[in-house]
Amino acid sequence: MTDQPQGIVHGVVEDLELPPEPPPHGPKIWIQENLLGGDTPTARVLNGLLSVIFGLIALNILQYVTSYIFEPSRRWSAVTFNMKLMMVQAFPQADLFRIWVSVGIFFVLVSFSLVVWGGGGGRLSMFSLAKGIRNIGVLFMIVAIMHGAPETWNLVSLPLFTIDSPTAWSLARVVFFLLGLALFAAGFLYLRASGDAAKEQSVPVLSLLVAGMVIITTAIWLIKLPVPEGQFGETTASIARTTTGPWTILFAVAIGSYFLARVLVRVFDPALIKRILLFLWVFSYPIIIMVIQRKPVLLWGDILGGGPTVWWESGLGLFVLFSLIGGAVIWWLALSTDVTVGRVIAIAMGAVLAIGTWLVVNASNDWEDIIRDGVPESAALPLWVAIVAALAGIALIAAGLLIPDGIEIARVIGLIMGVVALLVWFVPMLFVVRFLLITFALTAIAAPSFGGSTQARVRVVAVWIALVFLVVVTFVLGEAETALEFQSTTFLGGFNFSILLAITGLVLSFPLGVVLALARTSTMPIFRLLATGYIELIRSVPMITWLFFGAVMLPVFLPDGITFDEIVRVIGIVAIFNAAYVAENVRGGLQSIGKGQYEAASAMGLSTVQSTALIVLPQAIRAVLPALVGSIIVSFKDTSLVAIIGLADVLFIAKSFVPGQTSPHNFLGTQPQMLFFIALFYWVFTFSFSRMALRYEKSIGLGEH
Amino acid sequence: MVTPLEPQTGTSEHAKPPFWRNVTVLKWIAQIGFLTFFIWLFYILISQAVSNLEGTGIAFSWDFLAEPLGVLLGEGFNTSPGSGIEALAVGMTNMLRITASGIVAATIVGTIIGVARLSSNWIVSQVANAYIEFFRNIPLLVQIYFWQSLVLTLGELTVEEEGAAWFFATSKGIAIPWLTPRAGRWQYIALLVLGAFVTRWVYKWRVRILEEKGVETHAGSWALGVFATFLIAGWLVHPIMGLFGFLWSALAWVFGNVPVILFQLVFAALAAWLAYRFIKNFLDERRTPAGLAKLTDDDYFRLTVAGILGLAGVAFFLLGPGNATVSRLLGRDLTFSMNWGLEPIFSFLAEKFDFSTGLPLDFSRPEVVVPTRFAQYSPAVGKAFTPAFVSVWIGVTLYTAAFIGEIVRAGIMAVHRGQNEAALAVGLRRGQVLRLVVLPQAFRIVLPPLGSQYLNLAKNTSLGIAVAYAEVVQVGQTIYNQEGQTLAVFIIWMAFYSIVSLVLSGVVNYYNRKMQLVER
Amino acid sequence: MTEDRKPMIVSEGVKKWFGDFQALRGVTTTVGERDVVVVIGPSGSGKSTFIRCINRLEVHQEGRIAVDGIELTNDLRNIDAIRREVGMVFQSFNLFPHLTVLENITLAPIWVRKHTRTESEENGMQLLERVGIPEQADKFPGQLSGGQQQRVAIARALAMNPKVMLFDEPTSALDPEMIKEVLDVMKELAESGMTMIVVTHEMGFAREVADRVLFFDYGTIVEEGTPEHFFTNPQHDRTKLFLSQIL
Repeated sequence: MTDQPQGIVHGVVEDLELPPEPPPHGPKIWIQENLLGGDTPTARVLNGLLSVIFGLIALNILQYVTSYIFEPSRRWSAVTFNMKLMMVQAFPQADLFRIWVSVGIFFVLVSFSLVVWGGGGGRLSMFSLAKGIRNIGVLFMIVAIMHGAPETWNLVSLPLFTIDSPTAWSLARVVFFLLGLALFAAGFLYLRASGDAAKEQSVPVLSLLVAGMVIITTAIWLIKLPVPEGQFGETTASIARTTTGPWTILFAVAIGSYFLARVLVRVFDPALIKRILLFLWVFSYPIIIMVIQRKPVLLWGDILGGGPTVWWESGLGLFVLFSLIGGAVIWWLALSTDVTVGRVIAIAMGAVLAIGTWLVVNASNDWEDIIRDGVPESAALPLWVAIVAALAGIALIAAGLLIPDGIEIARVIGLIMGVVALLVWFVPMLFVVRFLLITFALTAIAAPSFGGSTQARVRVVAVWIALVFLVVVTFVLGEAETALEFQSTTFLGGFNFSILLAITGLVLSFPLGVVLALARTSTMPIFRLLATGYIELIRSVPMITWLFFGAVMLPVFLPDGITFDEIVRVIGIVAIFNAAYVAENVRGGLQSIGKGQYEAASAMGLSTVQSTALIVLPQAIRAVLPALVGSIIVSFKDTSLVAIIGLADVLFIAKSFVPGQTSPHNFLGTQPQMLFFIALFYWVFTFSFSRMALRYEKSIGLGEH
Repeated sequence: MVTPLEPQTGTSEHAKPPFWRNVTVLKWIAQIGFLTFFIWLFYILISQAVSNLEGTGIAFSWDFLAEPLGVLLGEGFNTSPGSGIEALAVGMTNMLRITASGIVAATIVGTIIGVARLSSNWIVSQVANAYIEFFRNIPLLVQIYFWQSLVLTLGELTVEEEGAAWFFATSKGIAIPWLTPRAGRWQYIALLVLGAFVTRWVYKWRVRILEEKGVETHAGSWALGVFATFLIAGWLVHPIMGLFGFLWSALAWVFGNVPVILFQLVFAALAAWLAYRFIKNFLDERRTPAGLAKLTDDDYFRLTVAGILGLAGVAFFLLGPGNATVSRLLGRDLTFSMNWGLEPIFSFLAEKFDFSTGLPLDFSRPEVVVPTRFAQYSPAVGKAFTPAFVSVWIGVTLYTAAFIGEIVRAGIMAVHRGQNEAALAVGLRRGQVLRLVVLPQAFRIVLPPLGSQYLNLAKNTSLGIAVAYAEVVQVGQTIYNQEGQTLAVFIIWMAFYSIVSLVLSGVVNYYNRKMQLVER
Repeated sequence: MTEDRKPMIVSEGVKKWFGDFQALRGVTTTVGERDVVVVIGPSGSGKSTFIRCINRLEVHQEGRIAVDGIELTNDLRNIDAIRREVGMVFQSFNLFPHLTVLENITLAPIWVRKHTRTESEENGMQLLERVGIPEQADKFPGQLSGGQQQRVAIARALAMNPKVMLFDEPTSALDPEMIKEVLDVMKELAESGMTMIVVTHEMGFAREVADRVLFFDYGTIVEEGTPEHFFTNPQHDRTKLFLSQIL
């Protein structure tokens, strides 16, 4: 027994073992494995057959596509000539720099973000890069060969369009082939020479991006594209300076701001730059649309008061009034521990509300007529609203007298303000005031939850003032006439409009979607029922139906005197529609959060509102960000539907405008190729965006915990 | 042990808190308040809409459903419908036609693509990959436009081709030979339904024997044989199903002669029963072995609301509005030219089950009646598809197939690893592994996202309006352009699509639940 | 027993059902100020449910619970007040993964107690020193070990200056080598005079620190007493059986 060891000490293995040598590889083995693989001879033969059939199908399709593109009778000049039309539609030539500035702002923001949020897409191994170059080379060569292939090579000859098959090797074809050969040789030789070392080496994706920009810049200066000549003719010409110049500058700006950002990050606090950048991301977009592109005519009389506008209806007046009065009320609501003051304020507000509405109603209605003839139809609604508002005022007085606790008075005031704000929506008044009242009500309801120390109260009031500023500025800019001169109903059109629709629709839908998701997961059955009903109704009916609703029927539901531009209506509908989908995404995120988080939050004494805003939503939204990024793609694709209701987005222009042109150039009959182009256009955007989204998804997947 | 509560430990607080601090009461006040606001808002909007419509001189009404319309539809079982409801019915059938055939085709193409995507053959998987990346990244509308422009560049339909070809692919559409239903089809279909039930029973019976005796009973072959017998023999003996004609006539008589008040009573009883069921279940859930548990304030609120809703339902159906609704549902007071009551349905069926001995189906080739037109939907001329149908059908099918391909791929990948190895380890061949182990499990994973793709396909058929395919949205738009009844048409759209969605997701959920049961 | 002390938690005939299942069958006990009560019992015996009723994570259906003289009812104010006075530590830590350690700790003081950020952060750092991990303040919970996470959770609960601390199996989800560091913090807390109710399977802790041990089974207190009495001379058969199985 005693000679048995009591335990064995293994020690720690110092040297890690190397993995076994990878199996040999080479083109022959690759073909054996990937094209002729199989356990049995029959399987191998079958697999080979499959390879041949699918290879032929692929080649056939490739031949069709290349023949279609390069056929001499194609008139790609329809695309080049109308490029500006498709991008911005009727945007005036003289103000075109506004578009370039918009793109420039976007580029600068992207460059800065790449630096600040790090990475810049990580690194790409030389191995996959060389492989990619090699494969592209092969593709180029195949295209060059197939393009001229005789028609007898076709597996199936579809009578879709005649294939012109020049057997001669034109110069372009030879150049294309040689380019492919060069790429192939470069990739192949590199892989051959470096062997396994290629897998170790890598290049930053960012420098590839820069290289790409340089190549594109060079290309657009050198390349010649087809342009129309006369009614039906076509010739080739360099790209206009008005296009190449701005793009060159934009690329330079992008690269320059990248290096500027790298310097700035060293000099200043990165956290500060991050915050500024986030702010700019949020606000650059409305500024681009409302200020830079729209070129509003600012009437200073309307903004500062004076002239025909009373000072308290001017932008500045409204801002000052609402900031001061609203700010004072919210300052108090945010703490509200002083019960006596609370009561006094509640009673005062109630009195103002009740007596004020009474006076207004009394002044605007002839009571003798009403008593004699009943309520006239036109006055019925405002009258009811006023009565309810007056009752709310009385309720406020009662609350001030009865409720013995400050914070509850604050809550009641917030709620009653909310009810009143919703009710007076239907009373004739300045539209901006309606919005300000709703904003005030929402802030008032939230104030008791997020107030507290002096610091917190200052923050709540600051948020309120910022909101007032935002609402007022939006309205001032929105109501201002545009100084642009264009031949259309709106300055937005083409791709510019598609982008606007996709982004605005999604951004606006986000808050609504979050609220719906919270309601749908709430424990309160009526909220759950309403949210579920909304979401399911929106989702079960196709989007085009909702677009018709927005275009044709929305005006019917609006009270007299309230009208929206068709574009605004469509944006609103897109937002309402997307909200249902955003809600479902967010709901997924909410459900992924463990019960423990809710319990911990409430055990710490956080209220439901606080734990939702501080604990649950931040986590839920982070969890569903990839899905939300995915829904940007869907939203972008869906914008094409507005072509059906006749709005001039990029698809509508390409499909209907361009093929209808007869002078100065005749582009009748170019519809199929315009559609071909537009399909490619959409494809490039959605495909590259979905790839970026995938990369992003992977990066946060690795980053978390 | 029991320490009596001291006064300072809070006996004074034992009383119910005031309502403004009672969590339950506050929650319900908030909900009921919001609901009231919501209903009020809804009422305001609707009444605003009604008054606005009156202001434009077109008062809201449903009359257009029954009145003759002067519209021509692109295609459908009746291209010059006599009334609004008929036109909408044509649109709905067209929409369902494309949805049903599209779902089948997209599933087949998508499954092939999904499996090909995972093939070990490099070319096959790359082609599948290219397919997916290509079709799902281009907006469907662009694709539909593109297919339309391609179909329109096909050759002209010429006279020489009349009767000369089996297939036509021209700018006037595509035509193929087809089986045309004949007079005997109703009896034949009924026989096949009966056959399906019998087959199911036979299958279960053979399986039971297999389980009891442990011998191979060839249940599958038996079932196949039985159904084939029905299929073949039914061709000749289907007239015996004419017996059902008596049943249909009897039902038609019943529905034709029962007073409306009976239906009202039935509906009222249903409402009361639902409320009763809810309350009973609710109480049962909270009943404890020791008797009825203490109900919270929340529970009382719920019970009260349920009770009130039940009573409201009963009152609704027994009083005036219920009378009107039931009359409308049964199509009595309104003289729609197409009567949606139950009685006509059964009289119609009774007519069809008349022991007639005609063939159920007939084979026919496409035929060009006028030099440039196919004979569409006439009794025996193959099947012709208009360019609009073809472009929408190809569009939604290929587009949806790309998504289905991804779903199938993900489903197979999810099963793959351990299951695959385990199955290989017990000695199954690769083909068997895929068929017996991987696919059945993948199907379970795939089903829910597949269902949502089917729903998307159904909704996407509405893009047919872009190429003037006469589906329900296009027909609706035609109607409101003529009649101005936008609100009514919109309500019909919503109702129709909601029903389609409900039915589709109902079917998917049913299968899903069945799958889950199998898993247990 | 500690009859002389002011009663901090009073529970009288507390009953609770989950559907048909009765989780608590009339729990009656009193916990005095500065008492450390350890609750043990087999799983499913209702011990967790009981302490979760004390800060109303679960709502009891019959009986009464009062904490520091405030009775638990539907009253919004009472619920708020009790949650401020009662800190809770969970089996699975439940730290907020999107906030740093320090932000986890300062969250409730800032938003519930309405303290300023600076004073909350100072206090938070002191608490982190008390639980022995001040250097982890700016890390995220996901970067810490289980034991460290649980200590942060304790600091987080303490940041509200609670009068009572509830521990729901604080060491069950930990690796054996991390249990001690958490128990040490809890011992220190007990010595400082905190009123504590601890649901745990750590019998060593119960013996060493507890003033009183409650044994739960079938939703009720089967036996209670001082640790010496409980571990050396249990009266009830069920208790004997349980102790024989775990010791």
